[in-house]
Amino acid sequence: MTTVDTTPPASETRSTAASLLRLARKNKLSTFGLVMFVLILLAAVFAPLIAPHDPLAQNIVDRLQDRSAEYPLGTDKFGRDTFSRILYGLRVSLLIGLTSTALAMVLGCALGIIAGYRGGWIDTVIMRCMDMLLAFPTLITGLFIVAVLGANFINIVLAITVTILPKFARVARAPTIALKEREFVEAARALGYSDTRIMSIHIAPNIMGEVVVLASLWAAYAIRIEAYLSFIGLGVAPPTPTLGTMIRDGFNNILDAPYVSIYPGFAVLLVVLSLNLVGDGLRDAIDPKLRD
Amino acid sequence: MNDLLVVEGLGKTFGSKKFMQAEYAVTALRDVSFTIGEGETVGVVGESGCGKSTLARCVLDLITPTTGSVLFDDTDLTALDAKSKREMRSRIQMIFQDPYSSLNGKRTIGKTLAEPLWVHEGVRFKDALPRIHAVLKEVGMPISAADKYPHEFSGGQRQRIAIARALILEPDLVIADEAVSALDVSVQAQVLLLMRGIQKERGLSYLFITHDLGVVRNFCDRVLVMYLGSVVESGPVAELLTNPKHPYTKSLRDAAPIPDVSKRQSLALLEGEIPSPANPPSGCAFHPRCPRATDICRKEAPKLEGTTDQRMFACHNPEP
Amino acid sequence: MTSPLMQIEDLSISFKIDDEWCRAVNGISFDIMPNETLCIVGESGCGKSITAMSLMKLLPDSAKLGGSVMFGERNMLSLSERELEDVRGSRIAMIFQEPMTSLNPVLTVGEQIAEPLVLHKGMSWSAARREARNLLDLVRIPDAQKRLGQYPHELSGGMRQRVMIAIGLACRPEILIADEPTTALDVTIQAQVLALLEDIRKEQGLSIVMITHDLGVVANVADRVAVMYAGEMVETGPVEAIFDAPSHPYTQALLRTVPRADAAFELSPISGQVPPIQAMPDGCRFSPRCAEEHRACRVTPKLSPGPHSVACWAREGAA
Repeated sequence: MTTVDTTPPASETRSTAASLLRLARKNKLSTFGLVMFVLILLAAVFAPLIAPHDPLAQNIVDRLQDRSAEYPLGTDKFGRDTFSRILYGLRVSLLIGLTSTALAMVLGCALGIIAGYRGGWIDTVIMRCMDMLLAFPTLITGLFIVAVLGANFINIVLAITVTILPKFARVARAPTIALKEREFVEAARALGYSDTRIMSIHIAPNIMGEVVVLASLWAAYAIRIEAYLSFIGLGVAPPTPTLGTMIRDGFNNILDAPYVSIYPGFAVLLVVLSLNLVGDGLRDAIDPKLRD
Repeated sequence: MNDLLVVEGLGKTFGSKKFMQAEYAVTALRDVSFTIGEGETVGVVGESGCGKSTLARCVLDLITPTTGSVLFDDTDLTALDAKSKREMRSRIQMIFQDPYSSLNGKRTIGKTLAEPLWVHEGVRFKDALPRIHAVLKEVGMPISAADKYPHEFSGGQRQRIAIARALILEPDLVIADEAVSALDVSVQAQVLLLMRGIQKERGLSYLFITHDLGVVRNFCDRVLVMYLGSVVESGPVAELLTNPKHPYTKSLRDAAPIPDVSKRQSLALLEGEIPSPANPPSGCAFHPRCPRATDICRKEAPKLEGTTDQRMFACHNPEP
Repeated sequence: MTSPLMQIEDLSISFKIDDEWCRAVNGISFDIMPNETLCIVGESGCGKSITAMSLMKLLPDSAKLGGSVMFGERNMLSLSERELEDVRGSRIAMIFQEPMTSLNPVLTVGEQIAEPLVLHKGMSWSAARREARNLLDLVRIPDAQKRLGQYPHELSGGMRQRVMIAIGLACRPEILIADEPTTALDVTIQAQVLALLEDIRKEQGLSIVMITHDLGVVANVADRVAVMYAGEMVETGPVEAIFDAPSHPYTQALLRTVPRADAAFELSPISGQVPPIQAMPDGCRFSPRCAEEHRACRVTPKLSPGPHSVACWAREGAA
């Protein structure tokens, strides 16, 4: 009944696309992060075109070289071109990181929405399971799964998915409980819509904004876990390059040729940094308290 | 007039028996019975905590009642399985109070209106368009509204859209829960007239939940007055308001401010506050605030009785 | 004739919306007389609430203010934040619609009533607490001593609004601004609070400016009424004149839209809706919805002089 502001609550008018636009205009740092991430993504996708050498081709004569015109980021102990290997390693790391994040997002949100919407014992069972997963340090959970199931692409994706899934479930559950009380959800029930329909079509899109923010941050985390797992030898089997295995391989020669580990490490840093910048920006754009 | 809806002995107790938590029980609805005829408008009026919203939700089975039955067109809704219940829901529709939160902000009006048709009749969006346009016209909205989002409309327009959504399945009964309370008076009058016009066209019935006696007086045929979960008085609107029998009805009427200086009065004061439904008074729930209370009121809850079905009240010492 | 307590002259309030200045309140003038209840009535978006806020200059910095609000010798609009703090809460107090949110949930009732006394009157906390007890008696809260130690969530809506009134009255203000004080309350509780405000006004001799959308409330408590529409004041006058002989087409139409509990009659709604603030019509802002027409409607009409004044070209000389 008051004020001049006749526009409805902001949360309804802001779509994810609008948030991205707002982010681009207001947050230069995040825009930079986004550009960086897109460039990294392009580099990974077009790795065969960009890479100057075959990432698997060994050239013992040129082993452990520093930067040169021939090898932009030097070579490893087998004389393989580090730059080419990073490009190909990015492909694997990004694929694992993004796939597992996407899987965790879909499954986690589904569980969170079901728990929040149904409540009662279903809520209790789902959320206690999530709590149990959260109780272990994420790396330990991942380690356990890979150690038991074996280290291959699918198991690593699975391991990372399971470790970050509870975070999505938690984030999806809270707004679902709030939305459940909103009249449009009650109206949907009054119209005889099924619970599955209400959860997937009416509730899910309304919490996507917050979830996408989280996804960008946890994608960075997923890529880090992948690097950890590879680093301790539970990654994708060699000779396929991943950033984590490359860092580990360089460790044997860390004193005389530190650059072998440092450049792939730097690549991990860039990916994680860019995703974190994007995530922070998205969060600022979506959180009404932090706007303007 | 045939009875479209017959509600008998409806009761709802919210409770909790959780592990390691205190047990509690709140009776929100106590033995409510009433009927709605075809083409009739029945109002339910009362203050917060009187159970009027719970009543609406029990009739619609959004909340499962603890006791009693809801007969709609001679079918007992409380005895139906989930699937038949959902089918029945296309014939009973609801309009909510807040037009800002009752529409999904992420969907266009067209999609919102098409959805019930898809869910209940399997009609695709393209085939639903003529019906969407027709119902938008019926509620006085341009057909271009179908492509827009809820936030592009004012409260009054949104409420029209909510009405359109309720109408699109051609229901026989529409439950309006404070449907005009959030609107400005000039818009409120527009929406009330629209709802009355639709009733004339379609011959549907309304169950009209409100706290505003002015709206009841001008919109309803019959009214139930509720206090703390029970019906305390019911009857034809004009008769009930000019000659209330229950002291609560009288207090409610006298507390409603009338926009007329010549009727200015010290708004007759009802002492005290509405008790909590979790801890209701003994006997007649109204006795602690009642100016006419006697000993029996403290001990024994009065029954809802009347000379005819039309006029009933639950009071040991009714107004003359 | 008594002189007014506060004189509002040509007040205008603008906000920047999408890089354009929009006049939410467009040059309104009115007086607040001593010991009266003035009701400012209008629908949502008419500017009644921000008008009330501007009387204490309680508006965001982004608002552009014009005209003057003379309180005694001082123009409230040109006071510094420091000077305003001395006036706010002590000489002019305000109560809001939502008693749920306008009380601080982590402080006791007693602390919240005592706070303005300590702040403005320099009382000691113990003296302020004693005074708080008296104030609870004043707003007819039973069991005052016990209530002082309670937190807002332990009180009902009606009790919270009484506490808000007690806080407002703590420093014995000359003007109490009440913004929809009973809108969130049940009717029987609303009647109690309205009666309380009326009694307090008489006892304390203060002036109440009540902002409301409810014409029923206006008819029951107002001495004078100011009707606002779309940021303009369209009619002011004694309550009898406004209800018995409404002059402005908007006032007339508005009274025909209110459903009354005492009689059924054909409601006649006002067609169309309040224009959005970004797209106000030229001249009389009610003209697009008005049933009457005058060749001058394109020009903004001014309030006619006299106790019952109206801003309408079709009423020129008639009022």
